[in-house]
Amino acid sequence: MSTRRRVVITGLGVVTPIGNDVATFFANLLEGRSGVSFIDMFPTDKLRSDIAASVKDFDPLKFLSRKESEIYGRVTHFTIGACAEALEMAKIAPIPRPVKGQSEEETEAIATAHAKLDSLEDGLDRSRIGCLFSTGMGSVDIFEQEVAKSAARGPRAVSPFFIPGVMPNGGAALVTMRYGLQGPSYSMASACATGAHSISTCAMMIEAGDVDVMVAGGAEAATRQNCVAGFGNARALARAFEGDPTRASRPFDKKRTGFVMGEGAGALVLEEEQHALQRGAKPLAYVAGFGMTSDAAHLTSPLPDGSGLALAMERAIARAGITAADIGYINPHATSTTQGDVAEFRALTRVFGERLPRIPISATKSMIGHLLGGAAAAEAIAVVCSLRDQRVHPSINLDEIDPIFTLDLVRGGPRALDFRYAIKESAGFGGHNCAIVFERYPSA
Amino acid sequence: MGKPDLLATFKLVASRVDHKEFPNVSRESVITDLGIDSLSMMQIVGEMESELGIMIPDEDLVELVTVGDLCKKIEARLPA
Repeated sequence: MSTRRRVVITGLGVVTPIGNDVATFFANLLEGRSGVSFIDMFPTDKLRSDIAASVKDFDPLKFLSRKESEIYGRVTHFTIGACAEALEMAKIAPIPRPVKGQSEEETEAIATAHAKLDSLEDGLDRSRIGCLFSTGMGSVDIFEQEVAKSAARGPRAVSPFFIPGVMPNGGAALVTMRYGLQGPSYSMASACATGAHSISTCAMMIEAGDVDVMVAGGAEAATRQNCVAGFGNARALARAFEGDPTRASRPFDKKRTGFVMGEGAGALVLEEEQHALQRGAKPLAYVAGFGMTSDAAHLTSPLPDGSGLALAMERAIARAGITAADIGYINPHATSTTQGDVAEFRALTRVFGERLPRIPISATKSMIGHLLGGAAAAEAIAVVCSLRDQRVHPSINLDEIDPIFTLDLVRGGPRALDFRYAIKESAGFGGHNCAIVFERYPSA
Repeated sequence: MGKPDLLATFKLVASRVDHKEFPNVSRESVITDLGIDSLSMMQIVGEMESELGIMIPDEDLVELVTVGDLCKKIEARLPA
């Protein structure tokens, strides 16, 4: 009998372009709804792309005081929103609910109630609960705002909250302060693989016995003029497809031209299985294995043969104690770039061989765009929901699958599956690869 | 141009920075009693500098206990 500590997921939370809670997000994914639209936050006439998948109707004042909402950037607003949902689902802390038509004072009262969450009597050892929450780019909006202030009024006008507001670990810090989590907390950045590394490292800490519960995930809110310029000038972004922004993100389609910037956050509460069961939390799935590698080759291009990513998947599968033949669903990185999708296909071919064309696969990014540091976390949440419900979401915008991709792409609607293992893989600028194997939880 | 009402300026800037009203602030009010922490205080100082078009040197910012302490330092820096 193995004494291995197994990691389960007991809570999920999201802020995304197609839903600011997990139920809405997953329902819209199953429906194949795109969250991409034209950018209306800043002029785009001189930019190489004018579309993005933006979060709508997210009110940071549901979670933060007005002052806090100014100190922290939008990425941290999303972080606390997603973590609050995940921690409530995990039965660790409820979200203080606002009342309808609340006044300013009542808004402050909600923020105060949030601030007192760390005094909850729940019998949990908070020194064994931590948070690795990350962003690829940090609080870009705060950076821009303070630089502009300095340019206009001189450096003495720069806010003393600039540094704590802009630092990428601000979200993780806020979560620990809010919930009184005294275990390990920090941020790690691996660009577009950030969320996957967060989840993997949290799982490793729980398996190792250092902690019992970790809040893992990633977030991004980088759809700002200069970021769109940077990615656009690198020729990485798609434009509206035949004038339609919702058709721009089209991984594995013959006419894919690049990725669509997205924003949002995904948070997962990871927990040692027995710890979860003893306190009555409901496991949604296992984190069965993970693998991390580096291309060690190029700053932005993946290895053309996908070997770095392939090795990450092979390690994840081996660590889960299974073989590639056990994987029943693939949630790919699939950014919709011309070369990236090809390198990824080669990686998948090396790992899954002749069986690859028979494994269902679908790209979350076809609907929510690329959440960068938040991408893998939000996509992992889609995988966990799929395992729980035994139903996977489609890939959209597959008008004509590029013939080089011999894949079983789920299209036209959701698909019911009977599967135990799914793999989520991610790759980030810098050559950082990370793959995670999730396993259905028996009673879920 | 008349001398600015520094107490009024302080209240205005503090409420803008901390998003709450400070109705009962006097020159005798102790800054920390108002719930203003050290970073917020520096934010207020920076905003008052912009508002008044002056620079308050660091040596003026030590041992600031009351709102009046800050007002006095600023008064000394205002053009005659």
